[in-house]
Amino acid sequence: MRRRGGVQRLAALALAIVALSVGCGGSPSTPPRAKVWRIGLFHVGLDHVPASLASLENGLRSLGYEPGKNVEFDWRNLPNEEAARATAVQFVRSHVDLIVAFENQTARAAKAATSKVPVVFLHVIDPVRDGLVESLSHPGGNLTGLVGYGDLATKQLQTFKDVDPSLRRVMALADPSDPVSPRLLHEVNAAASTLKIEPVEREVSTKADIERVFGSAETGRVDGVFVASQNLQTKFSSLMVHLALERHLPFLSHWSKWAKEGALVSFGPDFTAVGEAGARYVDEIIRGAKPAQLPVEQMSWLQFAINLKTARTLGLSVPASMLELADVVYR
Amino acid sequence: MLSIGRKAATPRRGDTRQGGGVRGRSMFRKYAAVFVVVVRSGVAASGFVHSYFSYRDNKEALIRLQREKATAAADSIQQFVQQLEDDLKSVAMPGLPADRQGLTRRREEDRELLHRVPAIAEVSYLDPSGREQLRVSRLGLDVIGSGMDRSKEPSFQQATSNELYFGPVSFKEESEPYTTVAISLGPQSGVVSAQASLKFISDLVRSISVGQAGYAYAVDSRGELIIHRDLSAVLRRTNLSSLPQVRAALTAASRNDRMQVTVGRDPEGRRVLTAERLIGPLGLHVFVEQPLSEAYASLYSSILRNALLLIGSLLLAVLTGLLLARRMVGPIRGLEAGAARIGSGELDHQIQIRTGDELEALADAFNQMTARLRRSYEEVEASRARLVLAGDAERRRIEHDIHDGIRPGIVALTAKAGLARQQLRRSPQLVEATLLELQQDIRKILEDLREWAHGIHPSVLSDHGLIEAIEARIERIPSNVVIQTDPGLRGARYADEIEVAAFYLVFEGLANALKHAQASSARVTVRRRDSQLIVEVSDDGIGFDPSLAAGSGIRNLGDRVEAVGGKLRIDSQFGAGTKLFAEFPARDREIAHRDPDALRPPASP
Repeated sequence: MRRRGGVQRLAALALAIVALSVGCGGSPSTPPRAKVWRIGLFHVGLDHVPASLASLENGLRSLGYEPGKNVEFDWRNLPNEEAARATAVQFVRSHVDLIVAFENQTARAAKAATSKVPVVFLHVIDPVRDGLVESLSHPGGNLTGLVGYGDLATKQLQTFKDVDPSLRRVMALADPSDPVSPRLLHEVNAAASTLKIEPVEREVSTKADIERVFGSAETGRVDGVFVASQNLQTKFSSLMVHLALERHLPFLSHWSKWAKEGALVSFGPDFTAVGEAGARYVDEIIRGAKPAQLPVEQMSWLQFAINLKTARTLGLSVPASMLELADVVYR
Repeated sequence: MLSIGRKAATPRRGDTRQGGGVRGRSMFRKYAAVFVVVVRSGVAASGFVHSYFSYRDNKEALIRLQREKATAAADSIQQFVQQLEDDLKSVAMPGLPADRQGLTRRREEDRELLHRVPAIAEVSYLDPSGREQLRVSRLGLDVIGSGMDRSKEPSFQQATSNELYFGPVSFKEESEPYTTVAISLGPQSGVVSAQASLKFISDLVRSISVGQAGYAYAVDSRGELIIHRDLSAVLRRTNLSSLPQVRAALTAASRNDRMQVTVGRDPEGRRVLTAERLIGPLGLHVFVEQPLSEAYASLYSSILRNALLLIGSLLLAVLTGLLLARRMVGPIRGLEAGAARIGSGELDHQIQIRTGDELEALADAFNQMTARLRRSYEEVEASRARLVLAGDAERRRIEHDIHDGIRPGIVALTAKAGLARQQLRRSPQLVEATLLELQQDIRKILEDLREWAHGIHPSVLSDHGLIEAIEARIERIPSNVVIQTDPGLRGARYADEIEVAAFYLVFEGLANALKHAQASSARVTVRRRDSQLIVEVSDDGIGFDPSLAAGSGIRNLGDRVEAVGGKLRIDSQFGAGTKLFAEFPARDREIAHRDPDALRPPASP
C-alpha cells in the first residue's frame, strides 16, 4: 500500500514535470509584468505636440505595453528650458522608472537632474558634442537614444535652394540662449558659397523678437527664412510659419506639419520612425538593458515635403524633379 | 525418508520459523530480483535505444535546419549586396557627358536613387582620371565639379581594373557599419562609387528566426559584428573573434564557400549550435546560432520523459515482482512449515494451499504421502499387536496340545503302570504282556511328542536348512506334495528368522491345504531371484476369497512374513486352488550373525 502510494506520487511528479516542461517557455515578447512602469515624457514647445509622441506610444503598445495596465505615461509639454529643468527634478523625485526627452532642451534638463534614472532622448542633434553621451557606440551614462543629423542644416538649405532656385538672401534666426545655434550658423556660413546663398543672421529669443524681425524683413532684401535653433523650432514654429505666410516669405521648416500649415519646404527626420525607434529603446531598458551599453542610433529616415499652394502664392514654379523627390506634396 | 526428515527437523524445531524465514526471504529476493531484471532490461533497453536514435535523428534534423537557415541568411545578405550593385548600375549612365548639363542630370538620378534606397548614403561620380565630378549625399551637401583627386582610393583603382569593387566594412562615427561599392562605367569612362550603410541588413536577418532564442549574425574578416538582429549590438562595436566558432571561421578563410556546423559559444558563454557561411564580395561570415538548451529542449524533454517512464515502470516492476514472488514464495513457505510439522511426527497435519497450480498439487501429494505414512504406521502397530496375540495363541495351543494330546497318554501310562503293579500281586503271568503294552505306549507317546515338537521348530531346520526341513515335513504328509527348488539352494543357509518364517509359511500353507482346502495335491517352490528368496505354496483345493479371509491364520501368516521384511501375496478364488507367493530378503546367515558386532574382527566359524 505504502509502495503503491509512492508510485502514485512518482507518477504525479512525472506528470507535473512533463506539464511544467510543456507549459513553461511562454512567449518572451511580452514585457515584464511585475509592475506598472512609470515613464516621464517631456518636451519644450507649447504650440505643438511632437509627432514622435504618438508613434512612441503606438510603438510601446505594439510591444505589449498598455497604458494604465503595465505602463503609465506622465506627459508634460513645457514653455521653456527652465520649466524642463524643474520637471526633470520632479520626475526624479517622484521616482519615475524612465524619462523620455523629446529634444535638446529636455535632454539637457534630464542630464542635469539625474545620473541614475535612464533617459531616452529622441531628437537631439549632436549628443557627443553636447556631452549627453561619451560616444555613439558606448553612451557610458544614463542617457541614450536617437540622434538627428548634425549637419542637416546645410542639407536643408540646399533642398530649400533646389525648390526655390532664386533663393539668395536667407534670414537665419538664431537664439543666443541655444548652444546649438552658433554651430548651425557656422555650418551654414561655411557652406554659403557652395550653396550660393547669403545668410542674414537675426538673434531672437521671444515671440516679440520674432514678430519684430519678421516685421522688418522686406521682400527683396530677404528671399527666405531659415531657423538655426532647435529651441526656436520647437517653441515658435507655428508663429513663424504664419508670419512668413503673412510676409510672403518662403519658409524652411524641419517638420512636414509646418509645410502642411504653410511653410514652403520642410526637410527633417521622419518623426514617426523616430517615435517607433524610441519605443524600442524604452522597451530594451525596461527589459534590463543599461543605457550606458545601448548605442545611440542615427536616424536614417528623412521626410521632405513641399507646399505647392504656398509656392503658387509666392509665384514660384517648383522644379518637377523636386516634386518627384518630395515625400509629401501639399497642393 | 521419514527418519531423515525427523532428524533434520527435530534439532532446530524451535527455530524452524526463523530458519524457514531466512531461506524464504532469500528466495523471495531472488525471484523479485529476477523478475525485475528480466522485465526492466527489456524496457530499459528499448527505452535507451529509442532515446539514442531519436537523439541522433533530431540532432541531424537540427543541423540540417541550421544549415538551411545559414544559407537563407547568406542568400538574403547576398541579395542585398546584389541589389546595391544593380542600383549602382542603374545610375551608371556611361554615355552621359561630364559637362554641366550631364552632371546636373546625373545628380537628379543620384538623388532619386538615394530617395529610393535608404541604405545608400552617398553616391559619387569620378572621371577617368579619378577626380570627383559629382557627390550626391543624403545628409551632406551635394557637390558638383569639386575636382577632388580620389584616384588613389582603392574603390577607384579596383573598380577601374576589376569593373566591380566591394570595400571592407568600416564604421561611421565609430558606430554604424558601412561599405563602399564601386563599378566601372567602362574603359576610360570613370567610376560610380557609393557608400552604403549595412545596418539595414540587420532588419533582413531579424526576420530569420531560429526557434525562440536563435538568431543570425555576420562578422567581417576581423571578427567585428556587422549584422545582427539586435542593431545595438552592431552599433556598440562588438568583436566576436574570441568565440571559438568565429575564430575557426576566420582562420579557415581560404575556402571560398563552405558550410560547417559545430557547437560554439555565444558572448554570454552559453553553448550554441552554429552554422556558418561565407559571403564572397563583402568577406562576411554569416552565422546562424541557437542555444543548445533550446535546440535540444525537445530532445532533453523526451529523454527526461523516457527516464521518468523508466523509473515509473521500474517501480511498478519492483512492485509486481514483489507481489508475484510473494504469491510464489508464500505457498512454498507453507509447504516447508507443513513438511517440518509432519517431519516432527504430526502425521495427521494437513497442508492447506489453495493456489490452483503446481504448488497446490505438490501440497496434495504431501498430504497423500502423509496419509499413506499414517496408514502404514497404523498397520505396523496393528501387526505388532497381532503378533503378540499370535504368540499368546501359540502358547495356548501348546498348553492345549499338552493338556489334550500328551497328558491323556501319560495318564493312560500311569493307569497301565498301576495295572501292572496289581497284576504283579494277583496274576504275575499277565505282567509281561502289560509291560510290553506299556513299553509300546511310551514309545508311541515319545513319537507323538517328537511329532509335536517338530511342528514348533523342527530340529532339521536348525541343522540342515530350509530345503531339507521342508522335505522332512512333506515326508510326514500322506498326500501328494511336490517340492521344486533350484539345486544350488540345497544347503544354502539364511538368517534364522528368514528360515523360520519361510518354513512356517510352508508349514501353515500345507496345513491349510490339507486340513481346510481338501486338496488332493500341493506344490512347494523355493527359488532365488537376485536378493530375494521366493517361496510359493500352491494347491488344487477349493480355494477361498482372500478379501473375505479375515481368518487369523492368513493374517498371522502375512504379519510373520512382513515382520522379517518380506511380502506376501495370496492368489485364490473359489474352485481354482490357492497360491501363496512370498518374497523374503535373502539375508545371509553369517552376515545376520555378524551384523550386530560389525566392528569386531570376523569370528572364525
